[in-house]
Amino acid sequence: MTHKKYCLKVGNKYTNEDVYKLADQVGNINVITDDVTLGKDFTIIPVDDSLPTVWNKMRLFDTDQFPDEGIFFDLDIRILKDITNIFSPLEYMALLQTDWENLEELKRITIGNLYGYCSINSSVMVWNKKTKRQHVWNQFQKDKAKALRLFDGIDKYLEHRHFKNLSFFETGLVGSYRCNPDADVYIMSYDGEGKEWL
Amino acid sequence: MAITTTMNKMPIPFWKYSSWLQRLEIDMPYRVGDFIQSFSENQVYAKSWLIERLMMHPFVNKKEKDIWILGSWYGTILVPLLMSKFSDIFRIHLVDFDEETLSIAERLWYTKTPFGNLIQTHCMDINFDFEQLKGDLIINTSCEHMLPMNEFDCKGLCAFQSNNFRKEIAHINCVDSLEEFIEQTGIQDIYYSGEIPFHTYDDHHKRYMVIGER
Repeated sequence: MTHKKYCLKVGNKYTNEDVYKLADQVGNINVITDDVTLGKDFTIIPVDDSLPTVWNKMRLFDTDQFPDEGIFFDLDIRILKDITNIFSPLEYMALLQTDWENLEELKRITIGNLYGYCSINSSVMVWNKKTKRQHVWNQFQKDKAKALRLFDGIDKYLEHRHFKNLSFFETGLVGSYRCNPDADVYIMSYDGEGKEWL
Repeated sequence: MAITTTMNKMPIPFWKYSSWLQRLEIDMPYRVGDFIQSFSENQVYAKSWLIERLMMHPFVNKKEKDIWILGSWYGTILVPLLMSKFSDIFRIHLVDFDEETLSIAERLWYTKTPFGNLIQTHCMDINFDFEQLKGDLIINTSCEHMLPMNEFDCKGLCAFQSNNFRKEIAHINCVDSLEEFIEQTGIQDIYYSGEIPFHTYDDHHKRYMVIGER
């Protein structure tokens, strides 16, 4: 796998130690961060101050800022098996579809709630040279002011504004610790929970 | 279906809702609760308040009325009230983000006219997809669900409602007073403004309405 690896550490939700633990699992990693102290051990990419915390992930859609093929990991994921060859090329930016949730029930309880439904998780994102992603970034530039007001994070923004411009990993590659801690998957997403393993 | 004089005098055809509920129970059971809510006491109260105020406006005499309902839901109250209280309607446009809701509404209110279906549906996220709108009457009884109306380019007689009921998670843009709502509507030439209780069971939560030209 020739993908460059990226993570995001902005604000206080995660510590520098979380970055080191992710690097132990995936190897050399580029850190999008506001913390210059990480610069002694990692290549750091300064945050875009116009984008609050997690919204910096949207920059991964910009081929000017991120021209190489890459893979992004949230800081609360854990690699459980060798991931070298699991990500086949996909037409659009590849994200997780939260098939561990009861999406039918979620759809039912969010009827009438414009941005309540979300079946997308951006804990792991993969793109390659041919991935079509620039148009999402361009649209985000137009939507930005409204998107930051209306959505509490990029997952819901992508779900409601770009669903047709996304690809999704096969079922079974990535799992949710919260929903199925024993799932036989390559990568486990802790989604802010079960951090005792860290 | 033949209807009696008594049925003809009822502005809201609840017998239609009865048959639609039976259909939804089989085809889309997850929709039943939402459909029932759309003609709850609160909904009838709020929408009939709007229609009663509009009936006193010179708009009633306008020919070939082109009416837009933003955030229309199924149109279970507004559509039949408009059809029974206003004459010479050219078209009623229903705008909602939920395709399935609109598909039900379109079938529920299908009314053949010489110009096609009286009802025309438009599936869109008003916050992002709505640019300009010109109509004889623009109704939005769901302003609390979207960005302030003064951020959109609407031209025509507007009848807008909002509320201060923040406990509902889908209410992303509540207001705290009628004055604040008037500001948000962008209506300069106000014909009517007022407030009523949002619920039947408390006095704290209010529904606000502003009618006027933009």
